[in-house]
Amino acid sequence: MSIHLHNIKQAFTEVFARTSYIALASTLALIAFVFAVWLPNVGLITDIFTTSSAPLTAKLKLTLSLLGGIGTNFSTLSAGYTIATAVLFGIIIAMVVYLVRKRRAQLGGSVIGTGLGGIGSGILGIGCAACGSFLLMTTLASFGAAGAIALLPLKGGEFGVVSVVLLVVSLTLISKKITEPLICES
Amino acid sequence: MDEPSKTTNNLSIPVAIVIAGALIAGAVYMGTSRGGTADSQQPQTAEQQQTGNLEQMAAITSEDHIRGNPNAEVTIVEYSDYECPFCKSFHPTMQRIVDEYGDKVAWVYRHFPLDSIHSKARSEAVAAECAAELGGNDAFWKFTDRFFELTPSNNQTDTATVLPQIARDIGLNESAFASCLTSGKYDDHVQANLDNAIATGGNGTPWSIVITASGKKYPLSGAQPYATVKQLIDLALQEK
Repeated sequence: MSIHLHNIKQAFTEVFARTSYIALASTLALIAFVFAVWLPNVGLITDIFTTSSAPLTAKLKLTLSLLGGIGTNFSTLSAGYTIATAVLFGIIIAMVVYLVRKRRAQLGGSVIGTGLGGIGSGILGIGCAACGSFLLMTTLASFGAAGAIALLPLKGGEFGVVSVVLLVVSLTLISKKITEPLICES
Repeated sequence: MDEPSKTTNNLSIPVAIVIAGALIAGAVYMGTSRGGTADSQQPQTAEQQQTGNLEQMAAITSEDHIRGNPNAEVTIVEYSDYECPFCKSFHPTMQRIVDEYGDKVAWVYRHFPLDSIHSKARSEAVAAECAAELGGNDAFWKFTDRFFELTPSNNQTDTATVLPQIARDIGLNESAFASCLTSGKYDDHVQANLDNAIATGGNGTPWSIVITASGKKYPLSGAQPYATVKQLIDLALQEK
């Protein structure tokens, strides 16, 4: 455990010593967060920008105000994992870019697998877990299994928690990769 | 000798990006398609699943429960679940909206019980209809206001205690209320509300549709903050 924490700390020091990677991670985290909060109302945003005759400022104000939904339309748990997923997503992508650009390193299938698993699970967990996470419900319903959600103790919030766990595993693996000494393999 | 391996690994990043993009695109598609369902246990036709959109919203009739001016410039139709904690938190937001906008805004309340996670919500919706039958439109709203005040949501309501208590609080005939609850006479009405919520694209609660004076409809998903509802109403009021 302490080795993993040490690797993460060392990898952070190496990657985020450069402000460009901080900017990249922050931008991606912000995009992921905004995407998650806006997703339930993409239809509304599309409608007001394509069909409404209201002034542009009114449209922009409404769109920005939807971000306040993180405080009213998410439970504490779902807000927590939504923010954590967005931050981890930004950090991991920035570290992948660093690894590929600076070290020309090869990413293992495990890094890609856990990272994608985390993103996918995080997307399923978006929404209101207590009132029928819209995406999870839609997904399960398409398999005729919406009722299965009642069997889950967190009513679908599990996907968000799994997402954070997978992204942390992905972060650990990529940190290990970054901190590995550069050697010529036989 | 290293070339094949290098090629494979060089492809892994773009492939990962494509897969991530596909996941996100799928999320947007499923999130924006208005034919989803909140509960597969509900009767639903394939046609509804494929053609659900806001224009399928059932016309507002005398069977609906309206708070505010029925001829208001803007109408908000809310599809709600009595056991949903977000509906509970959205209720004061809507009360404030109607209070502040006066005759400009009307609020229509329809039922959208999510049976798969809130097994008590359907019977509570029936209880609200019974309140309306025995005490009129005012009683419906008194029942709904009081219910959200008293109950913890998330299917933790002690209905055997709370429903008679609210009936008593708002001055209904308790025995008539109890008889109505078991009569089954409002089952079809609640089901019709639920089917209409799904037909319009609702797949979680609260699900609202904001209608302008010209008839244009805007979807609003979830318990959005007061500021958002206000911005949307202001925008709707500008569209004559």
